[in-house]
Amino acid sequence: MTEIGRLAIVLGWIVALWGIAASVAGALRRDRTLIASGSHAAFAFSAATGIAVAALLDLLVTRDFNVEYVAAYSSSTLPLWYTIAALWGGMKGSLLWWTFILAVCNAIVQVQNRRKNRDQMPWVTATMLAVGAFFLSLLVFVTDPFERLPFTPAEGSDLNPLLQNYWMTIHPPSLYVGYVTTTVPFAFAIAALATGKLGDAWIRTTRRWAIFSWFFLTLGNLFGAAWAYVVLGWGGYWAWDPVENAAFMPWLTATAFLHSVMIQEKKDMLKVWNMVLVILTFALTIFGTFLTRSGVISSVHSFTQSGLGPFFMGFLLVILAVSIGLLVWRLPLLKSRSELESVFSREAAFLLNNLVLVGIAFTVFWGTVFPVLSEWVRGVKITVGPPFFNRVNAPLALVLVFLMGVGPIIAWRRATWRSLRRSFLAPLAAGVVAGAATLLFASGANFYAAVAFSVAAFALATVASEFWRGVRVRREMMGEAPWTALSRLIGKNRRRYGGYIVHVGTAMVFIGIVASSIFKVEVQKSLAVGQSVDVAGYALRYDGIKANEDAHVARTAAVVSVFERRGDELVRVGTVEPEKRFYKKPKQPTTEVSIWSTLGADLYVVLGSYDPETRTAVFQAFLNPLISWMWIGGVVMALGTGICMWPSYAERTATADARVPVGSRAAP
Amino acid sequence: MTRKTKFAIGSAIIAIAVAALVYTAVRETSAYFLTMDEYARDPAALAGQPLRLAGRVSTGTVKWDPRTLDLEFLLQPIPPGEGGTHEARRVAAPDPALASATLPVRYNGILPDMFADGRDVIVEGRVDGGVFHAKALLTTCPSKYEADVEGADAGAARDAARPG
Repeated sequence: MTEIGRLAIVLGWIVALWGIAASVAGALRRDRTLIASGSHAAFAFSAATGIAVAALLDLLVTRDFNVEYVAAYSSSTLPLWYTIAALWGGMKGSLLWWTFILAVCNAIVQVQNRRKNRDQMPWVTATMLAVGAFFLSLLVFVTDPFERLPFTPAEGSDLNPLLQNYWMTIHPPSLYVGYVTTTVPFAFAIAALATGKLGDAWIRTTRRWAIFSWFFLTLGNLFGAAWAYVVLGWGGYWAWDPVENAAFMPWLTATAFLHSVMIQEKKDMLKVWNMVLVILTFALTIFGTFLTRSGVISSVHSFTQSGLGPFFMGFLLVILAVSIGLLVWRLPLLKSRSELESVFSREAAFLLNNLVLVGIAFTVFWGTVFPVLSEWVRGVKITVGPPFFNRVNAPLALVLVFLMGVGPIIAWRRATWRSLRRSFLAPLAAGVVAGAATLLFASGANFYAAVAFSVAAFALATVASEFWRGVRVRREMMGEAPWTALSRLIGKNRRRYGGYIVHVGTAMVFIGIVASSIFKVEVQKSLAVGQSVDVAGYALRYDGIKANEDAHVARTAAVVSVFERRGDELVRVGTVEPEKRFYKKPKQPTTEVSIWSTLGADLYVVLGSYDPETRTAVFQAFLNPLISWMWIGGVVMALGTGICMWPSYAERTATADARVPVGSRAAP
Repeated sequence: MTRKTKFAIGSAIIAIAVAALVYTAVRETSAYFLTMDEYARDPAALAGQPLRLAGRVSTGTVKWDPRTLDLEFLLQPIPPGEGGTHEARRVAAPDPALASATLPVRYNGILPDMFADGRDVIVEGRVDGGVFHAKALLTTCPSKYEADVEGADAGAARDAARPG
């Protein structure tokens, strides 16, 4: 099976090189046969990487420990589900998986565009194959996933216990799909620059891909946060670790792009800026891989030093050089036909939102590479930790959420005082009320909390007012019932109202983050059996220990009753069972938190240590207010993005329209 | 003033605001990231400074009281070439005089899963009166994986938390 896999990646690599050469030559010489051959190469490339993935999967599932990768990331007792997840549990497997997703996207793009964008397609094919060939060349020449060991170990060293978690089985695939699909808009941008066809055809073609990519980047980040929350046991979900930042930065620039692209569509502005954002987003995904694979920047929970750093750095430099070169060359063609007219306009609000998003991305980038920079410049390694990121990004996030409220309801071109007053009066009032209520009723609230809840309420209120207005108009014009009006309103303007729903989700996530950061309560206590500890309105009683064991893992769980304070009495509401685990193959202890979760707050309980002789246990408990809002907000964001992606009637006709050859509708 | 200049000025103000935020935050939250032997070269200069220190838990020095959650141990330099992290491996010339340097560390809290005698750790905090008061204690992966460092994916085995 290793021979089949090895053969597949070598053939895939050769096919990719052929496809690049054929596509570029075909585009330059206008040779249809060569272009078609390049397109076929894209399909062959997907087949080859598909076979390689299947081969590695087969080796994992049949537990062939003679294969280095299988021995390093699985064991005979690892459950089947995690054995499959081991495919992306290690670097070699994740590189292969990445290449496979890219190859599949390439094939889909080929099918979607078989009758349109014919001039650009060879460049798209070549760009996507070039990225694929780069990843595959690492596997072919540097780090072979099908490498066999000189001996067969009796047992594998098992998947890292921290990765044996359900979130971990879906977090990397989501993030990879998000990462990889940024290649599609990038490839079309490169094709537009190469062919000089810089109209909005490339943007229309890749719009849904960009949203698709954003959807998975969002989910990938949230799944990662959820994983950190339930697995790492420190009570939080985000530590501004370089690995996390690597996933966050492309999300920021992708978010900026999704907004600024609307300005290009509506106003034919910001063309260069959009190109820059597409290039930047793609480059940041490669930079992220570089960060996590090079060991240049140390990350607390990922020590992935490999020899691959220089390759990624080199690739990144090539990408930047080629894209910036092309962009500068085509600059004269990218002139905007219109200009911003007023500071009080939707264009200006979107531009400001873009600047803030890119500003956040920059501060994250700066904080991440700061240790390396300071060492180069001053010879001393200086790090910045979470306090840096929180301090810098908190005010920027407030501005961003405020703009999220302004953007949808401010008028295009130029807003008048009258229109401003009409649209903003109610949302602003909602914001002020929310801020005042926070200061009055939330104990421990500070100025930050008040402003944060105020802007969140403002943003939610603007969305509500938009829905209200739309429904009212439909009811008056069409005489529809409220629910019919609402569903038709969304159905007829999917992108707009889907986007609003994403805003609602974002505001909820924001509220969850703010509340769980500012109002967090932490308690640590050593308890004997029967003793209790108070945690801000709750109490925990340690009732005893239970243990169980199988061939894979040994568990020691503390049984803890959860009491809620209602008035003067304590009411028992449930049980949590935080665990200590010992994974037998890697001989590694882990801590399994147990969470009592409600809409109002999470009670997050950790078993710190346990003394078998005295049966005393040390507990750490966190009260994280409103943290469920984050996860629910994530679901709402996903839902809204889904509505955006669903093709509408208007868009289907627009696609048909795009199929008309460009030449035939020119000439005024 | 044309509209373009107005917007240019507006954008510049935002850029400057972001830069100022970054600048003040760096000044107030940054810490020196040192290995234990780098620290041992000039402890006096670093007293009271925010530090992030990579070192090894000296064997047999760990004292932990599970009731009060008070932890004490001695931190020593990681022998050259054995470090689990990039920082630790960066150790330049091994200085025999510094190899035996130790620094008492105090910490209050729950021990990380991987904390043990002889493990490599990173501590964050300040030195006060010759004692390192750690606000955070992070364990790095055991150095046993370091045997095959030059292998392109020795790192993969330590791929602890997240592939990506």
